[in-house]
Amino acid sequence: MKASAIESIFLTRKPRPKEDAALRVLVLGGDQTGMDLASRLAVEGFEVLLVGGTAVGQTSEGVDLFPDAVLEEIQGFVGGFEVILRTRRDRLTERVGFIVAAQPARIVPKYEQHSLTKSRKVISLSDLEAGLRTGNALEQPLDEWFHAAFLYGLKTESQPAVFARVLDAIEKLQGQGAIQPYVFTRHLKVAAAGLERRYRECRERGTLFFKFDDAGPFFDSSPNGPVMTFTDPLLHLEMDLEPDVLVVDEELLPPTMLEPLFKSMPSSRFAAPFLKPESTRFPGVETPKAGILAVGASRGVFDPEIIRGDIEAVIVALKRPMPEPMQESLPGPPEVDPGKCTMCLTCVRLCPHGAISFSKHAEADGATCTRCGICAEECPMEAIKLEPASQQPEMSVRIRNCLVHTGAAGKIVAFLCSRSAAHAMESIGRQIGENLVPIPVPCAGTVGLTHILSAFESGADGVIVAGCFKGNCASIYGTLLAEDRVGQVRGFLGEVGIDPGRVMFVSTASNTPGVLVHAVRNLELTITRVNNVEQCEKSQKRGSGAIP
Amino acid sequence: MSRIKLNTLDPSFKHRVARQPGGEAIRACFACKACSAACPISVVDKRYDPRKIIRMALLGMKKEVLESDFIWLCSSCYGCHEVCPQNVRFTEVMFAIKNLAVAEACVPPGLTGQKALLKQRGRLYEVGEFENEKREKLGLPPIVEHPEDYDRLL
Amino acid sequence: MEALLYLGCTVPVRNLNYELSARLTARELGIHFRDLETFGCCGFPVKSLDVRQTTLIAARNLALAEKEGVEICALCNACVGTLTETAHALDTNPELKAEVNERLKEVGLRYNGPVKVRHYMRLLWEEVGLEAIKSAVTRPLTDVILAPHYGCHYLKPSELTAGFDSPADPRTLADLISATGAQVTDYPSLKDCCGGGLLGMSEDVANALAATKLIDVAATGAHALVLVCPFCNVMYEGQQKKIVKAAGLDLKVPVVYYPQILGLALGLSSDQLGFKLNRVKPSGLLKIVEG
Repeated sequence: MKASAIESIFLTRKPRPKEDAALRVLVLGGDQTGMDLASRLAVEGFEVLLVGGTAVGQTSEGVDLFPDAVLEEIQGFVGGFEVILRTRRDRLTERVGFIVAAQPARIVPKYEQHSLTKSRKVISLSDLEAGLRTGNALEQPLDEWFHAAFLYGLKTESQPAVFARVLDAIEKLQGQGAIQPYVFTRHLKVAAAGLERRYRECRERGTLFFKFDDAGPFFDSSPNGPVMTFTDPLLHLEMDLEPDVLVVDEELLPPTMLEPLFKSMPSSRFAAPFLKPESTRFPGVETPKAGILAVGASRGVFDPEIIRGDIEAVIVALKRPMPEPMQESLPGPPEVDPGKCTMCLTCVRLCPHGAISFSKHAEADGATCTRCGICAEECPMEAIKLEPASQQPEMSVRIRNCLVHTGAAGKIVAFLCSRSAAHAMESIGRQIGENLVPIPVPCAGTVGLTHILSAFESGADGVIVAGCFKGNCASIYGTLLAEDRVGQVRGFLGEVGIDPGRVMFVSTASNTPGVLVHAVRNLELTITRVNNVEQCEKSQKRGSGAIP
Repeated sequence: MSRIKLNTLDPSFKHRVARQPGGEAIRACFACKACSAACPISVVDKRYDPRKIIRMALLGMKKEVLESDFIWLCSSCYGCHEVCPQNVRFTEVMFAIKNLAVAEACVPPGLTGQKALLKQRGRLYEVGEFENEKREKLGLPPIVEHPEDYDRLL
Repeated sequence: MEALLYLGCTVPVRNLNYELSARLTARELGIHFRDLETFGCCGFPVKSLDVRQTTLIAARNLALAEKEGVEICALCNACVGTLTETAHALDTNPELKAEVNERLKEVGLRYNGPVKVRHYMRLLWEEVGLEAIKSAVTRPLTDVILAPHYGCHYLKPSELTAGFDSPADPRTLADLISATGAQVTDYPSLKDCCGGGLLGMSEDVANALAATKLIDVAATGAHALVLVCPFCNVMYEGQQKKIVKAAGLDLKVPVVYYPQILGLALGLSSDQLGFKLNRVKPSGLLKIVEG
């Protein structure tokens, strides 16, 4: 079998339009990002439903606004999602082709951790920004200089996007007169484009930074306002400051209205509170489920520049057609035998991509399914077949064929994940030697007890299951499942007379063939040792006394 | 030392230093301490710590800095200047701070005489008849003092 | 080649051996030193009082050289540093240049620039070259062990000295010494500051700085410490007795100037080179060279 991987198929295909739904997009918004995205989509010819935000603002043609609606439920798959929106008065059902989560971050000011409460002079960063926007004059300072103290990353780390906001605010403030800004921090985060330079410019314009190793300032209050007491970390001198404004920093969290999306995608529990996991398998705005995209806060990105990029990425993704040749070379989705399916919903709950629906029986959606095969292995009734029977022989038959063809003795059967190990194998084939029988599988998560036992039944000496590294599985937890199963198998192999050492799981990547080579060599050594031991035992039983 | 009240310090001091020739980059400092690590004086006299001097200046401790005796301990070896990752050019900053101290009439006795000598002779050490005789004996040309320009310019 | 010899304040009064040996070796190696009577102090001593005045005084000296159309060669590290940084500042800052020229008008001078300023060592390195020096050596100083001292303003700030030597890993003086046939020792405090700039301010701190060098060099067994700056000489030679006594040590480190040992290698006599004026006698060295 060609070890060419099943490429990222979620967004590289635009399904054949079912009615007009493919051109309709549901955007979950709430601020300018949502509006901008909706406008861009409309310009590109999509019909947009924009949920959240305000009714006031620019609207484009092609954008329907639902400012006070809440997404209650989603059903279906890319090209034909059914979404239920609840407004104050109604419950609306709409059909859309794509869903984009583009809500603003939930902003939580960190008053509590400093035991501070909001007051006239103690405000949050958002409050200050609002005040600066409306041009509210600052309160008269106590002396000729206006002392503005900012807390950033003091008790807990704060995000670079928040530091960028602090720098913005300081810049705006300093335009208003004799301002002396102070930043009190323990962790200064400058890991975002341009932040190091802006940090330097901020110092050059006179802001004083206090970076603490110890607990940091102690907050008290006087009739005039807050009082901060601390030890200067560089001079080791005790100081106090009565700022004219004390600005508390904030945490940026993912938006809350993501529940319905989480529910449609079982792998989301690995990613929560974000909509998608950190993984190179899901670059940019992609999520594990076809047709659902994550922009900005929902994927843990808070930097305005990057969010602008996300908007463009959505356009690109939605407009990208699937190349024709690929359509033909892809096998079909797993087939479910209606006679065996008991609607236990195991596959539904386990598919990382949320690709399985159930009406009369479980059914995998062709556009969402990645053919990983996890469902086939997990189905307790063995009702799911990975490839349609017409296309490829069953796995056990394939294994038997391989071993018969090459001679079973001394062979190691290697189940190689097509996303990693199979590629690695290509670059080291000869190194490992003729004793390895490679069997590519779409995902290591499709390999289970049956596969491993088939191999031994057919006379193999050992089995290695090679999946991706944790955190790099294209099906999120396929590799974890495989490793788990191998562990289980090793647990009871001894009872059927097979040394557990003959089975091994290894994590590797396409570009780390050395890991695979190393694992196979270790397995070979173990097998040799085990073979010797078994030979000895056999001879002893026969009583020949000779040591071979 | 009793607690320092930041509100009473002088936020404009750092800007004053930055306006002096050589002091321009003092505010760029992010207190990495490379300067203090490179300073040969701080090994001998702990009171002279470049990073602390910058910090005091930035915080606005004008009085403590200008009236101190330790600011005069810089030997202008340029060690700090060489290693600073932010190009603060601390040796020049020290000259700027010293200039400000002089402007506020805080001059150490060792220095006051120098300017007068230059105005008088155009050089630090007198070269009179005695000195020129010595030079002649060794076959060296005589030195003539030309103080006019120095008197005019200083 | 020709250069205006810039003596500064200290050399022509207190370090005649340096001046003498510099002139003699220059002549041997084809460098023609011209004197300019109107040269005066470079301005370094008043920098702590007023940076602008130092710039002004240095600019005056530069303008005088410019009038002669000849580059400057100086013997003192501080002079080289001050003149170079002033020339650099004037060449790169048109506003400053205009301000300075306004004042120079008062004494009938003007700086247009650029004016080249080099230390005598740099002149030897760049204009004469190691090979030419080696060829000119008639009496190689074999068996002589010397310890170099660069001084601070010779190497730093690198933005001014760049292209000449490296502050982190200097070698020009060591190479120049090797060219005479002598051996060069390395020692831990090679890059130390002599502390000369502080002598007027705090003798204790200055002496403390200089002490380490003397101890290290004494430990190498070198016949002499080789200097290229009169400030450094004030510390290592002038203050040597005081330092040694205060530290409770018993050591003697003879101090010489580079042109002096270069002169010996070129065949000149120690008398000619002013060795009588060296206060901590390098008798061991002279014994080896002149017997």
